[in-house]
Amino acid sequence: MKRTLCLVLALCVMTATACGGKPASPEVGDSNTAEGSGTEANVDQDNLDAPAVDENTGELFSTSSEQAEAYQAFAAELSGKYAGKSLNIVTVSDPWLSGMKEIITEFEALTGCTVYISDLGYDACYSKEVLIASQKSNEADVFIYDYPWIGALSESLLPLNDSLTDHKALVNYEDFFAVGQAGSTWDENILGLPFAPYFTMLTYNTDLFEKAGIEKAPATVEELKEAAAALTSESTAGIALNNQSGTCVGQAYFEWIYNFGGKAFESCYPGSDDYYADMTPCLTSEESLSVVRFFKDMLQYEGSGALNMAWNERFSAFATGNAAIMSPWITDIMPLDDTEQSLVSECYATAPAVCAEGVKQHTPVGGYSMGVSRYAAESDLAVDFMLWFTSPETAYKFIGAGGLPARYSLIYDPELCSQYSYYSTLQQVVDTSFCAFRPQIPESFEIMDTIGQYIGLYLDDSMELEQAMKTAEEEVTKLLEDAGYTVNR
Amino acid sequence: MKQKQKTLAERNAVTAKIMLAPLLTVLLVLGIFPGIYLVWTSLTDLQMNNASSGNFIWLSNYLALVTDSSIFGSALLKTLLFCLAALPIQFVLGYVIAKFFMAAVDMKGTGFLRTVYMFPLMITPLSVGLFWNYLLNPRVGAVNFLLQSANLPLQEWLSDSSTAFPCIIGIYLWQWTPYVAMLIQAGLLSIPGELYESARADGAGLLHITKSIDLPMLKKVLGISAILSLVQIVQTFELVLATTNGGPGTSTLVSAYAIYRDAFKYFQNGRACAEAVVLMVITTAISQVLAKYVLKEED
Repeated sequence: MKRTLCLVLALCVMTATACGGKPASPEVGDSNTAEGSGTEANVDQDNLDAPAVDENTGELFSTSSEQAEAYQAFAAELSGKYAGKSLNIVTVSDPWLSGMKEIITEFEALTGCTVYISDLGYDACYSKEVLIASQKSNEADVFIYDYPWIGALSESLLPLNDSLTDHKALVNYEDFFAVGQAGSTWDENILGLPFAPYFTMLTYNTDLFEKAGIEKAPATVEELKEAAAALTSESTAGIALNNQSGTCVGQAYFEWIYNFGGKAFESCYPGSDDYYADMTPCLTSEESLSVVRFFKDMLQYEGSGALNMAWNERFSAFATGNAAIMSPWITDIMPLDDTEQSLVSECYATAPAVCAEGVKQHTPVGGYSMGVSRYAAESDLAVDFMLWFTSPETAYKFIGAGGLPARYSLIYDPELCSQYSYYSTLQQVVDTSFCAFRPQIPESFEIMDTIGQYIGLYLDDSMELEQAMKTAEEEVTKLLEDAGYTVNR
Repeated sequence: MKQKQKTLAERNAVTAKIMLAPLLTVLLVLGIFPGIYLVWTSLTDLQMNNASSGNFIWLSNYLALVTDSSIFGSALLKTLLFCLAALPIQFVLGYVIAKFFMAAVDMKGTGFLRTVYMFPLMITPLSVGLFWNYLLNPRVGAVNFLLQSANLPLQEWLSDSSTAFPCIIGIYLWQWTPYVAMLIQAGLLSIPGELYESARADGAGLLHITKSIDLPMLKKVLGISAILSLVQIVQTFELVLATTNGGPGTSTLVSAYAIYRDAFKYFQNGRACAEAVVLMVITTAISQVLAKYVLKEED
């Protein structure tokens, strides 16, 4: 009996514990393309210590003289204001984090506070933020969150509308990309300020394009297929796509569906008045089936290991010259200039994501905003940090430290444009981009995973296409019904 | 006056209770409470990312596991298949390795060999997964490079649903067979040498020695090793996380990974706890049967 009890207890504990440039060859590319240049991989340490000064005018970077004055006044106000206090930030450990940490040391020096950063992998960070939020804990003052997390965190993030009104000149909110503003707003409450948006872009190897005689970047799905076919050889894959079963290919589905002219849910599409008004899944629509069929068609151009291809493998295949095309997040484009990570630093270019013939192009956007916890121990400090970090002046310096642009003023700044050639692609896509391509609701990851699971079964020949998508649709429908969304069967 | 005086035995009993109190408290806090909380949560609709969840819903989560075309059901079957495929190989290989080291005890370099074969045990399962993920990479992995060198057809390994699950089992065996071998070797060391000498004198061969001496004498060691290995297989999670994430399709989706996914990716915490309870009950039942059989003589 004692032995039984001990065994049960031991298993109990064990089971409970069981429950992330340089000009390229000029012959290739057209006006829609932008060729490689140095970015986050080479952190410019000098830029960190120097103020964000325009080299031509000698002035601090700003969006207007009024904004510059507001920044100077704000910085003066912050001086020594939080001596002895501490700020806790929970964030993902993405590539821009090291630059962010460097810049935070300036904030510490300015205000006298100490900043503690809890950096975690993607899933772990989401779990931790949700846990902190559900416990109403004051463990974190600032949450760094991806756009799809906002639904799950909306009850726990402090609305910033009043703070932004109070600091209108300093923030210059309209200067943030519209897509970033949309991604950080929930029920008309501004719950964060964007600072690291991730756009997806078609990225291609200009040398391989040149050898294959392809003169311009593909703009349509058909052109992409033709290019991939022409580029495929024994040693090189024509294209690298994220096919790994589950979240990976599930997310890829959402990245492509809108550019195939489809939608994943009845009222969730670019330009919709209310993305979540009618969440009836449209997974068996012709456009939806076309996307998944496209994934399978492309397997023949992807070489070995294609079915286990995820973000890292895709980057690695392209960066080593083993794949000619990919369609990654911007963060997987930036390290391509680092010769320690990439063999294609001299020969890649970017272009807007492709779309089906006759369909308006929409660039999927993810990325990070920072918001203040409702339960923050130091909410004033947290708000001031957020205003300071996302101000045009600091945002400019953040780019020098390996960060991403989240403001129009940055991607149209001549100095930055000359350093980062993919900014020209950004300029083309920034206003047609879509932040809710992954639904921003708490069920988002389960939906992506479920769809990705069945797409995986189809790609793997374990299930027919129609059956896979029908089953996925049934499961997602039930999931959304159970969660209380409007779903019309 | 006499009645108030405690006997030595009584005083010792009190002391024993006081001495045991910290241990019992730890056991209560770390063992019993989480177990009760696990069962309680499994009866609710708790979702960590939903403030209005946490309502008591009786056995709905359990019923859903039975009635829905639940992926957890197939994950359970996958785990069962994992046990059935891995355990026999693990024990046969473990026995062979243990016998080899027993026989080669005086051979030069045995110490070094023993260190090398124990090496996988020192690595965390997550690192093992990442390490094998690179080795089995169809494009740049060392395994395909060796196949290519030998003019053999290249394999997709973790990318193909027909090879991914055997690969996971293979990686598990690579890491954990030395553990069983070590336990078996400890058991073999406790068998009196005279038994082998007598058997050999009577002309018994290796198979006969194995059947008549080793297996009966190692019964308890093998039984306990089987229980530990079973628990280890049921807990296999990091390996899947680092290699396939349960794919391709659902070909490597084992129960521990399914529970993790429901709890920490989907935040369906009530459902995940119900799955954990089901898994716990099944594992306990199997372990009990094994323990009853193995430890019968002691009872």
